[in-house]
Amino acid sequence: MEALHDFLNQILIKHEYVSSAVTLEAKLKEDLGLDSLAILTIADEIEEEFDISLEAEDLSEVPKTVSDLLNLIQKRKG
Amino acid sequence: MKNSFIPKFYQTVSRCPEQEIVFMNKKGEYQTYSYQDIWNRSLKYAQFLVENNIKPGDVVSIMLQTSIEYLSLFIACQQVRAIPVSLYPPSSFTDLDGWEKNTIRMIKSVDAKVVITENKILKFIDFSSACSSIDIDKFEKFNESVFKVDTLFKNFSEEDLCFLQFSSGTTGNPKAVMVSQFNAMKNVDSIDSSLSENELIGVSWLPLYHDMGLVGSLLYTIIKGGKLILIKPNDFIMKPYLWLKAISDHKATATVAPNFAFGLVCKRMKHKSLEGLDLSSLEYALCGAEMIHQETIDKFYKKFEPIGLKKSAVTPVYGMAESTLAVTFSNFKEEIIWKTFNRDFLSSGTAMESSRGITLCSLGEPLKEMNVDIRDEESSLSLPEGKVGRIFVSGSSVVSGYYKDPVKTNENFHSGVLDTGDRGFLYQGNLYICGRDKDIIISRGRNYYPEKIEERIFQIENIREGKVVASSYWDDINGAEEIVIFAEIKNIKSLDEESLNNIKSLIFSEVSVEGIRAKEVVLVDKGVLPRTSSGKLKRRETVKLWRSGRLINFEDDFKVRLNLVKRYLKIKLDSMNLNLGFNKKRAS
Repeated sequence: MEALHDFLNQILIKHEYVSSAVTLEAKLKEDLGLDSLAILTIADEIEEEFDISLEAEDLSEVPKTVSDLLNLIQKRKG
Repeated sequence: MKNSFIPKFYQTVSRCPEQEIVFMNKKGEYQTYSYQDIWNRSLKYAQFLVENNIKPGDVVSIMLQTSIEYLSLFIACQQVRAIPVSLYPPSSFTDLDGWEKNTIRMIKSVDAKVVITENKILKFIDFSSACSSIDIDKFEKFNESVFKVDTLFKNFSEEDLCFLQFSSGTTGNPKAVMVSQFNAMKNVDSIDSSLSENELIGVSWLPLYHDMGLVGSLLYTIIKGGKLILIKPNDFIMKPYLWLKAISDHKATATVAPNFAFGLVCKRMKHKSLEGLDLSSLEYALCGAEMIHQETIDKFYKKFEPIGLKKSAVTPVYGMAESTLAVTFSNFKEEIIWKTFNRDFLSSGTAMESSRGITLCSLGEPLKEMNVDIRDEESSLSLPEGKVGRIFVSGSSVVSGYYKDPVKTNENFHSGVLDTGDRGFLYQGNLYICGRDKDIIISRGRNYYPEKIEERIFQIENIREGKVVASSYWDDINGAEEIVIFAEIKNIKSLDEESLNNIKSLIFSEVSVEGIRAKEVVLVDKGVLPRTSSGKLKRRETVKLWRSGRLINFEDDFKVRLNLVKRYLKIKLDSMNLNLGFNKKRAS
């Protein structure tokens, strides 16, 4: 999970969405200020990296925080 | 009857039953349906609507992604003379709380009888406070089709509503535009009269709950009998190259998108991903729905001319949901006309070309059966060419108003003439837009166009691209309308006070190039400036929040935190009987 967290931090910083590492509790929209364009951009990178789909099969899966997103990636990686 | 969707589309299906609608998925794979397939499928859907007690005139909310199901259901609604209204379906990353509230409000505002959507949405959201709901899978599984559209042909009327569409940017205050069968078919005719007579092969990723996607891409193409390749909007945002790959794969002749999309493909497509692409088939890429920036379009040409993009491809257009869609188109065969106008003359109401000033692009001439009238703000009298005023539109595609909302209808429609709220002028027969009236900055008797000021500031280092608001507020002390600039800054937390002051000075000096002085510059962290659902910054809302102290100003926040640290240190130091001068009153 830590490696995933690092990976996410790297892409967030690479795209200049954040300037330093983000905490697990940070909310994607309210705290990190990610708009739909930003979220879809990082989702694409994650999907490409792990060859998974982040498409929600169930809307309760929609990630709100960094931790939700990492859990979703982990789940899809199987 | 001539100006109704079903009779027209039926003719097209009969003429070219094998013509194709193609859906491209995120992997770049295609799924193809013939017009005949789609027609047969829509008859089945229509039968299922009837079984579910949907009657002529009932409003049906379609909350589906761009898909064969969306298309079949839209056509089925036409067959049973129900009124479809397309709503934004939540994606895998939608903030559901805000979405649900808005969506329920939109459904209620049109008094929809039913919402038709995917099971995964129905499992999560309860629509019962607004209307009933049906799972789209049930339409697919339904097998009986006894619906005979031919018997109903005599019932179609051009006065019926073809669909409702929510005008863009109306998040908190939904306004559903009533597009009649006559309006819709006339707008399709008007569009057709100014575009190419060659074979139409279109590519679109635009959302179908937006006028440019629904009318400009889908309806226009299927009435005309063209081939259409459709991409889901989110798939395009994730993988912008899909748009150009589809154009290249299908030798497409037509596409349409707002300015930002041209910028996005430039930014996100690496040179390597251009290999093997060929854009030489593209006759035109209509560009509308927001201000068109010369810099963006220049970059687009520079990047894609080497793979065959024609220098005349990008075609600026103007339109809005209230006129069904299209109002003016520039000539698709010619290069964009950019003209520079003298700033002082323009802000005092006259368009005069000049070597320096504001560069704007021509949006072309009014389409067939459409008229543009520039009127004086105060007297409401028509202004001659070259005079800046408010843009009024009339003609066969202008709708009669907002659904069940006479108050908002009376605000914007005056005896069949639409007050667009946009400011612009006609010059050498072409329309030019300088801004939205409500956003315009009027300071010391002069008008300024916020877009132009913001564009200057985008160029400053550390400013988040596109995340700048220029606006004005009434300053009681000076008794004047003063200019205020808000800018979202990259990595703001890592910048020291000196860097922040530098950015501020640069902003002050860029604004002064426009001939005015900003009274205040407010630097904020990312995501602070309020936006509409489509991502446009809300200028007036930003000022309102700031004036009421509810906008999180980074520097204030910084000072608050600094003071907390100082107070903490003071307590610590006091407890150690030390005083290094924090909060010490100065001797007078």
